[in-house]
Amino acid sequence: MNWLNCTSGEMRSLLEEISSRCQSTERADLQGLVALADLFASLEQALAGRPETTPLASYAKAAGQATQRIVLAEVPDAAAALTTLQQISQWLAATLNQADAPTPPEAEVLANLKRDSGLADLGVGGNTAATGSQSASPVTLDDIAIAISTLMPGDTAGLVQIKDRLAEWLAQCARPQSVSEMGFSALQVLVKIMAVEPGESTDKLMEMLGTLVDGIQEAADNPTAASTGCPSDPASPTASAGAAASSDQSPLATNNLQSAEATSRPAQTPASQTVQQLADSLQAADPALLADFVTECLDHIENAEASLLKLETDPTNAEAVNAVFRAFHTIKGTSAFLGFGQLQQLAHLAETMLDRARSGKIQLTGGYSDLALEATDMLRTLVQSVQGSLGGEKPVDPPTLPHLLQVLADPEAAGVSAEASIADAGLRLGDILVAEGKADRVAVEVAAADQGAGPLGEALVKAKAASAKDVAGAIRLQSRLAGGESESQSVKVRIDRLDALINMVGELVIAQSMVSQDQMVIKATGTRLVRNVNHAGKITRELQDLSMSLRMVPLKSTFQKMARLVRDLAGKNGKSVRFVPEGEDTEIDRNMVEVINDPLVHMVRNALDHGLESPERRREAGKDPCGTVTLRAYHSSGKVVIELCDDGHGLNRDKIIAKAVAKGLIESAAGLTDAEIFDLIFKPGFSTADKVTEVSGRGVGMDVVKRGVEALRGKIDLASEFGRGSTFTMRLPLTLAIIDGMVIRVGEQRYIIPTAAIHTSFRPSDDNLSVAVGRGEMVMLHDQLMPLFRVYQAFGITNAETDPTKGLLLVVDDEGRKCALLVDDLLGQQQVVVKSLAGGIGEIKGTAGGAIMGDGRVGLIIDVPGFVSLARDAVTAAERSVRQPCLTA
Amino acid sequence: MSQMQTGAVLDRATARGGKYLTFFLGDQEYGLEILKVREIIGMVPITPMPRTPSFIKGVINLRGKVIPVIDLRAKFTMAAVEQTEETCIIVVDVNSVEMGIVVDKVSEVQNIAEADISDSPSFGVSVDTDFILGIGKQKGKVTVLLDIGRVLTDTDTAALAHLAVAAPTA
Repeated sequence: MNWLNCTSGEMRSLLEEISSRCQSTERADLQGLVALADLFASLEQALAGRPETTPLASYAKAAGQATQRIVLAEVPDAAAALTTLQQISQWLAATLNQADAPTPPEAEVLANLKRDSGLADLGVGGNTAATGSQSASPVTLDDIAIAISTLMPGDTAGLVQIKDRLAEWLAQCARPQSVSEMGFSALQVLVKIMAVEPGESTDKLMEMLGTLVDGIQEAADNPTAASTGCPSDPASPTASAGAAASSDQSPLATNNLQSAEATSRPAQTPASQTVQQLADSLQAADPALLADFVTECLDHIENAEASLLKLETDPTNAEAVNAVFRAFHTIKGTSAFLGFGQLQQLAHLAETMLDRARSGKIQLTGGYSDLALEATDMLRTLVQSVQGSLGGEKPVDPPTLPHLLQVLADPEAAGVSAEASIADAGLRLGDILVAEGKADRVAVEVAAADQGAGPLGEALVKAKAASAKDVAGAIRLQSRLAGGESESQSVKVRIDRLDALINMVGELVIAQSMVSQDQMVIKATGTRLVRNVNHAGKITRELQDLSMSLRMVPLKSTFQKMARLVRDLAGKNGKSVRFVPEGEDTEIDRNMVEVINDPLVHMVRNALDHGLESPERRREAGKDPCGTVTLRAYHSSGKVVIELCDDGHGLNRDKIIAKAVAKGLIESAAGLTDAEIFDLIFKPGFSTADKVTEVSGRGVGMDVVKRGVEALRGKIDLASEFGRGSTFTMRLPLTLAIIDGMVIRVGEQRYIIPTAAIHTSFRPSDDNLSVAVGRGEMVMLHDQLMPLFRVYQAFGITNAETDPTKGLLLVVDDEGRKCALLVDDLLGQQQVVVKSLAGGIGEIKGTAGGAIMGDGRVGLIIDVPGFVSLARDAVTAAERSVRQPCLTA
Repeated sequence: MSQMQTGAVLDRATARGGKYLTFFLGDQEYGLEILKVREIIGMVPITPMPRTPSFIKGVINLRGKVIPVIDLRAKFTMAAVEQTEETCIIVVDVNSVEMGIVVDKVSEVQNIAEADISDSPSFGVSVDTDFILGIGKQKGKVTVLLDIGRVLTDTDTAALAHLAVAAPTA
């Protein structure tokens, strides 16, 4: 019974500590009280952990609540309450030492506690921990955070409510000590805010409160980080800050003061950080550490950028402001630690500006937003310079840095303002409700007009324009559309390991299918063997699915880049644009992500430059002056579809025809459908823009896009309505690593031809075949004459079918021209993993790599254009050798 | 690169002694530096590559990797023989590229001392013996020690490059 002794020993020491603290702690010593409350919480846990002491746990809980109330200054006579608490602890200790258990003074002690602490109901049953809050549902941290962010200065009632909610949240369940510590610190800050004289500024305290709640949220989401509270862990600076904030001269407060001081300082300290210093820091630091620093910083920068873009559509999103702030803050801390003065200074100045945004003094729109993005870009440049230096490059000193620092130090002096703000885009709550049919447009408008200071959702519910449930749903939808979803956790894995894993899983699948196809297994009579093999097969298939999904990444970062591009281009072109990303979570192979970037950039540029009109023109046309560009991604029948829609003026059919005729691409538009005419813009050298601008109009555009997409074995389509806008639709394979192939047989060899290249297959009759002198064999299909190439001839295969009427002709697409390939047979369609023919052999003309077939052998993938040119050469060579003897004869 | 080459020259000049995997082509025993050998596998179906020199047998699937296989007999212009139970593929690592070589029979791992290795005899200028590391003499046997890197890369890549250029006009 060692364990029992041990825990009861632990409880005893807890109780002793509690008892001594009760004596020594004074009402004013908030930190001590918080510690006491924590001790009671630990005691409660310890007591509840053992069946025989469980009944006592409720007393510990009640005592803990009483302590909290002392902290909150809700207890009239704190000294008396503390004495009672001491009594309780002594009684608990006595009860535990059952040897001399005194008569439980239960009733008496409890009555004292009730009186002294003013607790309405101690709930000895243990579960009615309710305080003064009206809400019946459990309080969540988000509620509190929202309440804080929407709190108006001087709203004491609101403060009390927040305090109550926070207390309730703290009482709800046991959580890691650091979290509850922060919670209590937050409570204290609240109490202080309430104690502040009216008229005095509470900004700083409110800010601290915000930081603390953020910290709690972070810690609650990520308990391990909070409980370790590792100071070197930059992700949770608030965890330690929270605990520290409980003393009056908390480092957090001092930090803020320092940063406030520092704000005025940099103006006098120009960016004197030299390249030499960077080199020095580089030498001093550990390369592995620096590499980590670079990755981490780039991550943060990306996050900050994402949040800044989120703020574009929703400038009041406090969470996004905080996210940006946190990113800069962390970079500041780490770079200071590593001695990167430039980085630190830049991050610091940006942070100072963001701090003002956080406290609501400025709004991160227009000029401020530009500035923040500029700072982000500069940070990236600097971090990349660090990265480059790691690789031995000479560190660079960005020429624009001093100016940027100067502007950041005092944005207003540099003429930055929130004025250039792009119209409030993003989906509004009311719109969502109306669109969903949950509310009436008129009712929403009325409620919105009356809403006053409170959020619209509340006003809607009050005005009975929509049910609370619908409003909550709409809010969730809204935040999801705004990208407010929480990120799932991930680890970084080296790509070569990942690829090796995927390879091995592929091999496992083949090995497994060999086992299950083995005659011994097929003929096995023992059910156990069959069952086990089937079981292994099931696991293997799941493993395969999983391994394929490992390569997949969401399109989010690509969409983000486009959002940034749209924003920048809109600014440059003087157009007002609303960017609506849809389906950012659509997954695509990570190799594809990089390669679809270029075509997308082209398309977005086109949409902004040619597609959308200027605000004046739009107004004249009776359209919303703010244009909309929608980037949409979804999966459809095994492909990824990426659509780019703009509501601009669409394609001008007549203009295209005129241009095409002028360029000699067509003779007239007679007999051409709209689709065929629109297709012309994909021709090289075609541009309908009247003038060449910085971004587009040089005639290299859509043909590049088309070629790029086709190189990825994808397709691009265009739909457009004049005056209404255009939609480009890209259909791309999910991955480049796997292709849909048709397995063909030639002699004893099997080859794979990408299905996308195959039009049809047929067996010709003798009448279809002809020989054109000097041009080899031809075959006629549906009145279309096309060259015929024999695969066996080009590849030098023996034992193959040489008579086309007995074999099969595959009609394939060779860069727009059709031709027929003679093969022996079609064996079926199969998805194969493309493997490069590893070095040593090099490129073999006519093949595009190898694929491992179901039986473990290697099949070669035929590269159709390469093969056709090879076959054509072979035909020419044959012709020549045939003609040669004729000439000599 | 130049460092590597001087290293190789140094190796050739001084440190030829060591362990060799020996194998047979016909009656002659050959040796490969053991460190260049990855593994030995039995014969597996080989997918022939079209339009490649005859000594390239094709490609095989080595646990998910597609690697080329060289027929050493064809490479040394020896007559082809029927495949037997003992025919196998030695997977070697040539400048961190894996390749397979088909041999008649794998023999053993021999420790050949530097003293037992003599330089390859000179047959005059026209005969290139660069790919021969040396001749090992032990217990009255003569083992031709191959510099597999030179056997497989120098001439082959040249031949392949030639092929790639020549193929269209051939």
